[in-house]
Amino acid sequence: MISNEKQSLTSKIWEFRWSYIFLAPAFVIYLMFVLWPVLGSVYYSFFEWDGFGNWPEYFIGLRNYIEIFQDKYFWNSLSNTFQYVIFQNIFKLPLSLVIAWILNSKKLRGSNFYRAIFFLPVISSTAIIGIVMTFILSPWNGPVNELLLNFNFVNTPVDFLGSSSYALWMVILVEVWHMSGQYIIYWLAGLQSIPSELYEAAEVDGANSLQSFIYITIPALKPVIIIVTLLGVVNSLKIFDIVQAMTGGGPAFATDVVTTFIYRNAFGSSLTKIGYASAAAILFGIIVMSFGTLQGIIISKVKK
Amino acid sequence: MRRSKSQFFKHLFLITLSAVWLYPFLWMVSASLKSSKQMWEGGINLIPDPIMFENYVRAWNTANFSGYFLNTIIYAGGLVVFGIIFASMSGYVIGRYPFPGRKIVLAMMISTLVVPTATTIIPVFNMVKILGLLNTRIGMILASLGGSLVFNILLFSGFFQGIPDDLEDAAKIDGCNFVQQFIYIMFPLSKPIIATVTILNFINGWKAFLIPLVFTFSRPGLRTLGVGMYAFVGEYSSDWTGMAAGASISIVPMMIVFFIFQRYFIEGLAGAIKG
Repeated sequence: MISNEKQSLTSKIWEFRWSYIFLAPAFVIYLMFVLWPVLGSVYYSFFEWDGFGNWPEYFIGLRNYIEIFQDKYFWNSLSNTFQYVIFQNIFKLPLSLVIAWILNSKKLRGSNFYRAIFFLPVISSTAIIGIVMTFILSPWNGPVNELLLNFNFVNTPVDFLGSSSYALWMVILVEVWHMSGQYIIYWLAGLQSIPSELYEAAEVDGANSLQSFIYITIPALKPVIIIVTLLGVVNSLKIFDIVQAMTGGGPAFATDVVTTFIYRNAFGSSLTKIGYASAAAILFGIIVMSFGTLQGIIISKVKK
Repeated sequence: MRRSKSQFFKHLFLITLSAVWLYPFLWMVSASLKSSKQMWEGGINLIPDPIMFENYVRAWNTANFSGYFLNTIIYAGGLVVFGIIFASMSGYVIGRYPFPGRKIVLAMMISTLVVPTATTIIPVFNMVKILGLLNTRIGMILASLGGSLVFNILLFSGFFQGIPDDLEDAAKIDGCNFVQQFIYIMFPLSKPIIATVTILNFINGWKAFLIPLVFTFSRPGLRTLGVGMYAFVGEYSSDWTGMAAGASISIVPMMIVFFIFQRYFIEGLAGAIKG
């Protein structure tokens, strides 16, 4: 009986041999560059390792984690990350929804043209945007300061990125500008799924466009709102490029986020702490993946 | 009357916002065409007078943006080509063949879909080091490929799953073997997914920063545009017009491609979220 079953499994595998051959290249890459790195990060996080050689040798158990929970720079980076995630989405999601709603108006001309303009920052390299923005926000002849000076809003140029009270807000605003176009596309896809009969009925009842937005659009869009919001949260948690390019986490760690914290410990400083950075990477991964899993669960519920 | 008034306000709102959206790009291109003196005196004036292209010559030759440009195309192109070959093959069998272990493979892949790059970058770096591929183009491409591959596979397998069996049966009767069936019948059918994957992977490659940054520390010759720009700022921090030219070289070509293929970009992105 058992040998019979074995036989059938082997013969089944043989029957599908081409499937395995086709799967193999992608699967090997997956194992080496996706699955192992997840496990590897966990493994490294139990060692003290300066990155020399191929493997860590000095096992220290949970010491990296204990140390990280007492590291005020880690908590600072975590708090900055969450401030960034919350405020970037509070600005980005409603703004992009309003723009999408206007672009979705039936008789609006040129809506594809506007959509393309809002989308331009999305296809532009984040690091390069960050660098261009350091010029635009510069206190030395930067256009934003020139404008503020010309209209007498300020008397002396403001060092937006050099001030620990403004810098994180600047990162947030730049990313709202940078990413809104993508969310306009998401909202448009959602808005186009609302049947037009709903609006027509509201129009017959004498609702103006603001009323139909509040009473028709928002309730009909509820599942899309949940999905897009979670997507916005998960994507913004991963922030790295813009911070690294615009402020490098400064001034005085005011814009340091978890990813720049990991980067600095693993690759940046002269004192490389691979195990320590890995522990931070694992904690960060758990945070991102819990939001990601929540998103997956909700999407599958909504789709039913 | 009421309608035209509301149209007017909608356009006013959109035009104002569009101006804010376009300003940084206009400023960048304008600065790249100014002399350094004009740049410092011009303030918010966007019109360069006279227009000069010397900044581009300097960025292209001295600051090696020609090399960065080529590196970026090779890197992003590599992500597209390898992504399409490996993901279409594995997506095909995952989508159509109930081979033993299929469900496990799929579950494994989906479970790692949301792992962020920052979590895996250290072991990925060491893996590439162990393979002896540090400071090579292929090492950089492999390091980046993992992240997008699973998503590409899911797009392909979803597509292939929806294709009726008749086509394969007909091909079998005509004497096609498994490989021919895939190459001549199924792969060409998947054009819409090939287009989506091309666009997504190319944008990702063009925009990528963390992996090219980490993998070109000791080999500046392989820097991509983003990393090259980042290094340029560190090395020539006073040359704003040269940097503006470098930034324009990095951003404007992608914009032109976007305007030509706009529909595909937007469908690709909207399709990617639905799938």
